[in-house]
Amino acid sequence: MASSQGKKIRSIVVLGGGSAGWMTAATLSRMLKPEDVKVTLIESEQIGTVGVGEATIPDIINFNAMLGIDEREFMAATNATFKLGIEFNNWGKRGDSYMHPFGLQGADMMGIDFHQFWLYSHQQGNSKPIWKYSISAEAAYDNKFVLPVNDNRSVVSQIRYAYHFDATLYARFLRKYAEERGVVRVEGKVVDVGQNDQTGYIETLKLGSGEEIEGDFFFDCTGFRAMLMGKTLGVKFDDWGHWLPCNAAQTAACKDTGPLKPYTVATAKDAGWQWRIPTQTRVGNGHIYSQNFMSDDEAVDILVKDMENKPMNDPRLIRFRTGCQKSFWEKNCIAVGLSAGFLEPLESTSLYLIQVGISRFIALYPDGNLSSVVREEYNRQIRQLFVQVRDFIILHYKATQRTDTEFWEYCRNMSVPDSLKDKMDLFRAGGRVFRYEDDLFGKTSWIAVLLGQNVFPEVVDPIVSDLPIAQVERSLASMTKSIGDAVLKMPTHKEFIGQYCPSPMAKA
Amino acid sequence: MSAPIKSVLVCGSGLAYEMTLAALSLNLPGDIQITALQLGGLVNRDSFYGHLTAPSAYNFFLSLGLDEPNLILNSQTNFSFGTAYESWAGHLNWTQCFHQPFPVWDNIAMHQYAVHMKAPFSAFLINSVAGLNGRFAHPPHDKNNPLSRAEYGYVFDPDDITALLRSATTSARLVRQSGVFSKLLSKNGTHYSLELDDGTLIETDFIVDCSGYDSPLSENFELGATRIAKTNKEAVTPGISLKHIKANPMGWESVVRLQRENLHLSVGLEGSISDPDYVVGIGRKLSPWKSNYLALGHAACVVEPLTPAPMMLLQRDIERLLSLFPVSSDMTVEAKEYNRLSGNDLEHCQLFQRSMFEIKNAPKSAYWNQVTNTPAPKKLERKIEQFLSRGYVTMYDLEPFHAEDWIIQHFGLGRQPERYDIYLDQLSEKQISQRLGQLSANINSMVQKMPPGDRYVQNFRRYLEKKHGV
Ligand SMILES: Cc1cc2nc3c(=O)[nH]c(=O)nc-3n(C[C@H](O)[C@H](O)[C@H](O)COP(=O)(O)OP(=O)(O)OC[C@H]3O[C@@H](n4cnc5c(N)ncnc54)[C@H](O)[C@@H]3O)c2cc1C
Repeated sequence: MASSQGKKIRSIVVLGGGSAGWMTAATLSRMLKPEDVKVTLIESEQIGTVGVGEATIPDIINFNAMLGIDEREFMAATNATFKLGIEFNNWGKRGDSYMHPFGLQGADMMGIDFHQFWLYSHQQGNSKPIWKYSISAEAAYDNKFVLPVNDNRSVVSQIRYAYHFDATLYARFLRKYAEERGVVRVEGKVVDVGQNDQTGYIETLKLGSGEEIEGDFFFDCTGFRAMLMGKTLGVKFDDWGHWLPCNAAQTAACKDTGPLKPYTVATAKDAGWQWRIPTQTRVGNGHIYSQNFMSDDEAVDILVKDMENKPMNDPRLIRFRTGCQKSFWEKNCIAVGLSAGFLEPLESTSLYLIQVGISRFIALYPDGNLSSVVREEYNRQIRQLFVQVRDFIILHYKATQRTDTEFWEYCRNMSVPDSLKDKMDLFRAGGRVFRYEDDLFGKTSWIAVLLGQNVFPEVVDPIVSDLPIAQVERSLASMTKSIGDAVLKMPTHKEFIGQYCPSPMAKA
Repeated sequence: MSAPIKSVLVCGSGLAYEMTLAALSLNLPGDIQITALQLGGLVNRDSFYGHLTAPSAYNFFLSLGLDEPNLILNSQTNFSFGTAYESWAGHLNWTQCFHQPFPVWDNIAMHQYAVHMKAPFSAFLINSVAGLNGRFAHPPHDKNNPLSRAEYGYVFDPDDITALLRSATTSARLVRQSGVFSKLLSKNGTHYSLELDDGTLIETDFIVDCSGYDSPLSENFELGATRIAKTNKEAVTPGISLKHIKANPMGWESVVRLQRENLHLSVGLEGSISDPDYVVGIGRKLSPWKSNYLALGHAACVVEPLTPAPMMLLQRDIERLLSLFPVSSDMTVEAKEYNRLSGNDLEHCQLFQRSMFEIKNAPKSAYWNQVTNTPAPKKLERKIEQFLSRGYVTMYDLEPFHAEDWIIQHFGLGRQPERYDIYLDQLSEKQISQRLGQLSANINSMVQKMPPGDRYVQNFRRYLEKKHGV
C-alpha cells in the first residue's frame, strides 16, 4: 500500500488572528485531526487587526459550506446582510451609475452572448441599461431579497449573492469554531524568529514573554507587516502601485437611516473612491485615495461629507501598498491574507484570495519533506489568481473618461498590463470577451464593467443586427417582465433578514 | 475606416475544408458571400486526423448540421469508448477511455482511493472494462447507473464524412467552384487576393486556407519530424468498441472498427512502410492568422494522430473561427486572440502526446529516440512531478484534454504516486477497499448486461431506419 505521507507534518503554527489567521486555523481544524497535527494560532491584542473587510463575493458561501457552517447562525453572529452586487457611481464619467451584479445579466440566445442583443437594441434606441436584465440587480435596486430557488425554469434560480458583515465578528466566529476543534490560541507578540542555520527553515517563534512556539509549518497571517515572509525570509514584494495608485484609506462607521440596501456602493471621488457597506447594525464607510494626489485631511473631509450620518468613531487611517509577494510559499511558510498581497477592496476580493490561499494548500497538502514540486505549483496558481484579479481591478481605473482631476487623468493615460490591454482591444473591436479558464471574474463581470464605463464595441455581432429589431425587443421585454414579476413578489431585504437571521445586536 | 466583411473564400479540399464550409454556411450572417474553391492536385492526408473524435464531437457535428442518426445511417461512423494502447513502449497496455469526472466520496476523488490501494485503475472505469470486452451502449442519464459516467466519441472514415458534409451543405450564398492555385496577390503587403492558374482573380475580404499540409498558398511550416502513413481497409472484426493502437520499433499501427469495415492506419519513420500513401511533416505555423489569411486544419498544424488531438484541434479551430469571425477588414485584434488560443491548444495537446513518451525503460527504437531527442517541456515535467508526488493533476488554461484524461494516462503509463491524499487517513482500510470493491462490482455487473458493440450499432441503425422510414 502507498502512504499518505513521508515524514509527516506534526505541528502547524498560524501567526496572526485577523480574518486570514482565523480562516486558516478554521480550515485546518476542519481538515486535519488534532491528534495527527497540532494547530496553534498566535495573535497579539497589542497589535490588533486591520478590522476592515466587510464585503465579500459569492465564493464565501462555498468556504462556509466547506466548514459546515450554518448560514443563519453565521449571519446573525456577524451582523451580516446580503449583497447582490456593487453599484459604481462616477467611474466612467461624473454622473454615471451602473451595477455590477452577481449572476447572469440576460440569457444568451442562439448561442450568442446576451450583451450582443442588448447592444443591438441599445443602438436602436432601447434606453434600459444592461443590468435591467439581471434579477440580482433589479432586486438590489428595489431593496428586495430572496434566496435562489433550485429550479432552472424560474428566474429566481439566477440570483447569486454574497454577504456584508463585521469582519471582526467573523474572525471571532471562526475563532470559536476553530478552538472547538482543537486549535490552541496563544496570546502574545512574536519578537523573534528562530531559523535553521543550514536550511533557513523557520523552527520557532519567540514571544515577548520569552515563551517559544515550535512548528513544522508556519502561516504568516500578520497582515501588512508580513513578518515571516518579508522580514524573516526576505521575500521581495511586487509593487503594482503604478497600476493601482491608491495607497491609503480613511474609514468610519455610521448609523443606517435608509432602507437596508442589499448591495455595496462604490462612488468615485477626486483621487480615489468611497465605499458604503451596510450591515445589520451600521453602515461601514471608507474613502480609498492616493496620497500622491490628495492630503489625508482632505480625504477625511470627503469621507465624512458623503456619509449619511455622523461617524460613530473618529475616522481611522490605514496606509497600504498594492501588489503581492514574489513568492507566497517560501521554505516552510505560506503567506495568507494581507501579508500575501493586497489589491485594494474595489471588488471585495481579499477574503476570497485568503480562501483560495488556504484551499490550494489543502489541495496540495505536503508531507514533512516539503518538496519544491508542491511549492512551485502553489506559487504558480496563487500568482495567476492575483494577476487575473489585478487586471480586472485596473480595468475600473483605466476605463474612465474623466478628465476633471489629475488623478483621473493619470489613470486614463497610464499604461496597463498587456493582458488587460488585449482584453480591452478585443472587446472594443467586436464586443468579444477574452476567455481564461480559471478567471474569477467571468464574462458577465467584464461586460458589466466595460459597458458600465462606456467602453462600447465598434460593431455589434452581425448575426444579431441582421435580426428584425421587433423580435429582439420581444425577447428582451419578456426577460424584464419575468424579472419584474419575480422581484415584485420578494420581501424587502430588511424583512428577509428580520425573519431569517436577525442579529441580537441589531435588536438591542 | 475599416469596411465590414462581405465575402469569405474557403479553399482546399477534404475534411477540414468541408467542415469549415458547413460551419460558416450555417453560422455566418446572411449577407456574407461564401466562395468554396476546391483546389485540384492536393494529396489527401485526412487519415492523419486519426479516425477518432473526442466526445465533444457530438455537439460539434450537430453544429455542422449532422446529427447522430444522420452520421450512423449515412456513413460508416461508429461509436468508440476511447483508445486501447497495446505494447506501448513494448510493455504497457491500457485503455485511454473518455470519462466524465470521477466519483468523489467523502470529498476525496476516486483515483486517490486507487492510489492508496495500488489497485489497477482501469478496473474502475466502466468504459475501459466495457471496451475491452467489446461492449457498447449509450450512457444513460440515470446518475446511479455506473455507465452514466462513460463518454464516447466516434470512429470514422474522413472521406465518408467529407462526402456527407458536401451533400448536406447547400446554401444560396455558397458558391462552389474549382481551380488550380497560381498565386496570392497582396495589396499594400497586407490584404491578400488569389489568382488561379487560368488567370482568374478572386477578390475576397477573408481567406480561409484548408488545403492541407503542403498548402500551395503559404510556405511550409516549421517542421519537427516527418512521417509516412498508409491506410487500408479490411473485413470487419466483430466486437471492437475501441480504437486500437499498437507500437512497433519504427512507429505504430491503429485500427478502428467502422460499421462495415475495419480501417487501418500505419504510421512510421521514413522507410518503415512499403508503398506509403503520403509523407507528412509534424509541425505548425506560428501565426496561422495573418492579415486576412487564416490557415486551418493541416495547413495550420499537423499532430501525430496517437490520440484524438488532431480532431480536437480541428474542431476547436473551427469553433474559434466562428466566435472570432472578423467584423471588419481590420482583423488584427481577432487574429491576435485566435493565434493565442490556438497556440495554447496546440501546446497542450502536444503535452498530452509527449507525455506518452516519458517512460522509464523506454525502448531504444529509432522511433522512440526521435520523439524523445528533445527534453520534455517544463509544463509537462511539472504535471508528471505533481502526479508522482501525490496524484495531483496540474491543469493549465482551457486544456483540450481534461483532468480525467490525464489521470487515466498517468496510470496507464505506469506512473504511481508516491503518496495518496492525506484525507484518506480519516477512513479505515476497510472503508476504502469497500468503496472500490463496490464500484468494481457494479461495473462488472453492468458490463455483463451490455450488448456487443457491433450488435448494438446494428440494432440502433435498424431502430433509426424504422423511425426515419428509410
Ligand atoms: C481599507 C481596506 C478595506 C478592505 N475591505 C475589504 C472588503 O471589503 N472585503 C474584503 O474581502 N477584504 C477587504 N479588505 C482586506 C481585508 O481587511 C483583509 O484581507 C482581511 O481582514 C485579512 O487581514 P489579515 O488577517 O491578513 O490581517 P490583519 O487583520 O491585519 O491581522 C493581522 C494579525 O496578525 C497579528 N500580528 C501581527 N504581527 C504580530 C506579531 N509580531 N506577533 C503576534 N501577532 C502579530 C495581529 O495581532 C493580527 O491578529 C480591506 C482592506 C483594507 C486595508
